[in-house]
Amino acid sequence: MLQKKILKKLVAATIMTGVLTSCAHLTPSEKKPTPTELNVKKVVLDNGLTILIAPNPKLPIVSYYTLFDVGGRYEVKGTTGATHFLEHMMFKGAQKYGPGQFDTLIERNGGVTNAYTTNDATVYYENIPSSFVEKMVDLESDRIQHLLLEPVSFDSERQVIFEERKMRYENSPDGFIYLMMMKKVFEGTPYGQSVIGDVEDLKDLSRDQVMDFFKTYYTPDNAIIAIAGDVDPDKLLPILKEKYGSIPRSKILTDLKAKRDDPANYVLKAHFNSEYSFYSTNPIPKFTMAFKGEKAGTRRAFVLDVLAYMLGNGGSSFLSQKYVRNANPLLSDISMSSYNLRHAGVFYLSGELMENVNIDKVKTQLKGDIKNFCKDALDARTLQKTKNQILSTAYHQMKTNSGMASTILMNEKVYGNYNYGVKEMEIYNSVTESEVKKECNDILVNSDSIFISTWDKFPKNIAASVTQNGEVK
Amino acid sequence: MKTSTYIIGLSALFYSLQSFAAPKIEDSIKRLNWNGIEVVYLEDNRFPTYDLLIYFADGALSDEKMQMGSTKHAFNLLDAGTAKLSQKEIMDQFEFLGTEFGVDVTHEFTTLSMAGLSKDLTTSMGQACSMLREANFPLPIIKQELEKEKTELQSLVSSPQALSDRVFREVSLGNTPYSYPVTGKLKNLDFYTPNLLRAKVDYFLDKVKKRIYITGPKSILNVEKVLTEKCQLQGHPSDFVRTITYKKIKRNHPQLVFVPVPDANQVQVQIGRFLNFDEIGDRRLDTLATEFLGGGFTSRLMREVRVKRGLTYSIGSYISSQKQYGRAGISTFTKNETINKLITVINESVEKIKKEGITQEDLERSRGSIVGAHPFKFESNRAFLSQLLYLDHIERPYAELFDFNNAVMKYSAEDVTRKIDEVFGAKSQIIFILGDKSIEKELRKLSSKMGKIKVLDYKNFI
Repeated sequence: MLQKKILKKLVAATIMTGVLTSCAHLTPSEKKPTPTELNVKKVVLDNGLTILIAPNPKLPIVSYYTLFDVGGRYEVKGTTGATHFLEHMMFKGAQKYGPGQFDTLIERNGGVTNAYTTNDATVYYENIPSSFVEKMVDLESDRIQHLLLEPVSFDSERQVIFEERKMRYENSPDGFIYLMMMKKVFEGTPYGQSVIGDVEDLKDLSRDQVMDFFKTYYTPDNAIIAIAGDVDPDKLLPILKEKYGSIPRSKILTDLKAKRDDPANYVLKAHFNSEYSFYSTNPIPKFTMAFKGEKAGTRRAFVLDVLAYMLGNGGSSFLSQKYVRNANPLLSDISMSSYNLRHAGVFYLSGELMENVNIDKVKTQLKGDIKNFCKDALDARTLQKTKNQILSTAYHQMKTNSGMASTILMNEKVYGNYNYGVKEMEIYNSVTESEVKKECNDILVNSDSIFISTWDKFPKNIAASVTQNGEVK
Repeated sequence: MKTSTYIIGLSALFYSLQSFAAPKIEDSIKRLNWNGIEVVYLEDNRFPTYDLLIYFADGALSDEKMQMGSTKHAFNLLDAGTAKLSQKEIMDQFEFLGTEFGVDVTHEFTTLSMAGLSKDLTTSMGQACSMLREANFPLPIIKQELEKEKTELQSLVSSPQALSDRVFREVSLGNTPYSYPVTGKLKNLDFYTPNLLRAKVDYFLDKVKKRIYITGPKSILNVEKVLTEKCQLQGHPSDFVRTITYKKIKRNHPQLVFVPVPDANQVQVQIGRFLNFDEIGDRRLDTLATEFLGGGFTSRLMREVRVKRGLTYSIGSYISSQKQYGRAGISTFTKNETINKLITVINESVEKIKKEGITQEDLERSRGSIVGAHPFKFESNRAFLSQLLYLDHIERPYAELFDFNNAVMKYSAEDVTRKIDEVFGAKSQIIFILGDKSIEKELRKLSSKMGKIKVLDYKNFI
């Protein structure tokens, strides 16, 4: 499974993870939780593997998440899609549990398993009965050490990925426009590469290339495991140590990642003053207007999250009222998003036109209106409403084991601290109206954008690209 | 509401979560009576939140001809405005409190749902009552919303899976009272007037049997006063419950249906049929059979179609039912070039089950799967409440939920084989294909085995 915006969503949804413990040590914590601590036990093994366990005895079920710090951003030219391809192949058998055994064992015991790949990370997850946890540890530790990558299933799975690509992007105008936005905004940087892979690359990708990817990045010091549910950490930790503890850490990864994550690689090169029109099957035009965003974790990223919420979240939001819910609506749908990746970000507005509304008219009007968004849309009440919505979302996220596991996992990855929820909430809660207005002006008023639209009336197989001065490329 | 207050509350919440140990889950269900209305309460003190469902024992079957879809629209447009509050004010108030308000209309029943922070329940419910009792469906707002809906329907052609689901549903339930979409179609949208929509809501509030499902801390039970006084909800033994009679559908040969759409490089495939009232009795066997056939990565169809042949990314099967009818289906997609191969593999797989049966190992895998997964049905309170609501609707005891594991273990491999043949046997299926026009020629090659191909225009279904 490929999930394009999951990181952003998870980060946004974890705003209120709330309450966590301060025992983020490198050894098992002996500290007892205080009333303000979430009961999570963190251990980092000698080989660098980080393990988080959040017990919850409500029901005899468990969610088991494993994150590898590798995503589309580490693919080099000609190997786009390798991370995602590897994700698929991880279900195809390993040394101890051969082809067909991984999912058979999980499903016959009542579990479900899947995975997703983003630009920044690959995450595997299982929701299982608690009686199956020990076996799950064995299954996971087997496949991260001894993946088979069988040639026969490798080629069969390539066809499956082509079908997934069609489903998500080629036959979906929304998916296609997103793909194009990422390509154009991050052109020339690792984020400009398609996570699911370009068709030609996917055709040529070899088993050796994927195996090389596996050996390079699927190492314990590049992974985090989060387990939430009906487990006793004191009983489970020795089992985890036994199964994962002997896997050697990588000797090359630190240097390789430093090179790949060099901030210079992520400096945006795109021309933020351009427009692209693509043919797609939608009979009514859709568009995205993309601005330079912010990488995850900075205060500005939090402010931009709040700004996106304030402008475009819900039927009462400014954008919805201005363009969708009025006497002469231009659009049938509009949304605003701030997608904060590890090293860069994009802030974008998306919409679909009403029938018989002209796309050029909408584009012109939006570009004119946008200068007034910051003074018209942002006030104290809307800011408070946004903070309330963020809180409500966080509660919702924390009600399930999978929500808990993914939350502590992503906080650990993004902030180096599974406990970051309280801090995040403090930051969101401290965002002021003037701060939001300043960022709004900087990003929407004083910056250029890339405008991308799709329509079934645009010429096929040609991407019309027009700069603001009218020059056709 | 100040968010900072809730950081402290949240801290306490997680502390209490750590020491929470649930009693036997069915013991937490309590039945109350509020003004003649049955209330099902599930106590849960772990979070300062609530979930609330209001059930009405009628649905889209109450819609008159040319007003089809009016129930769905009457409830969906409750937030269009009242004499005192505009649409924006209504939306803003719910969004300010972080309250989720939703509506689900099926042919047989209707559900209103609300969720949010328990301290805001009476405020949110008060607003919901204003909407239920005072919504006046202002014409300009209704027109705007319906125009928006028309645009969305016109755009459906660019979402092949969604379009396929919509058209297949109507085609496979053809000639039954359940085939027309609960949302209505484009041609119905101009018939919804403020008076019609107001009358619809009044009918449901005052004539139809209601039940309330609620979960959260005990403090939320003070919503009774709002529901009985402001919403004026009351129950009577004579309240209406929708039941109908219809002529059974019997199909003796397969029907190949093709719906062309422009420029699709992937074909949507659905194979299935309507289930008569006397075919939907054993829902736990239905669950077991569909788990084996198309219920996960290890299902028979997933193995044959994706794992062995790489023909698709996803394939699944389902048998779903309400009180008086059901539907069954296999749903998947493939590239244009392999459409006939895909259909052949699916048919052969089902035929092979009929001929050879399923092994004890197959049975145990499928049984283990649904039994092991059973506790997940209780993880989310909303899902739990929905299951209780469903059991009440189909007039089955809650014991079916709690005895699920024992019941499933009693089924044999022969039971599963028989069920798959009865429901998915080739001769009674609608084989539905939605894709690029260019594949029609290839599809006609299937006609010798599956009968004459019927070509339909998708525009007649939106």
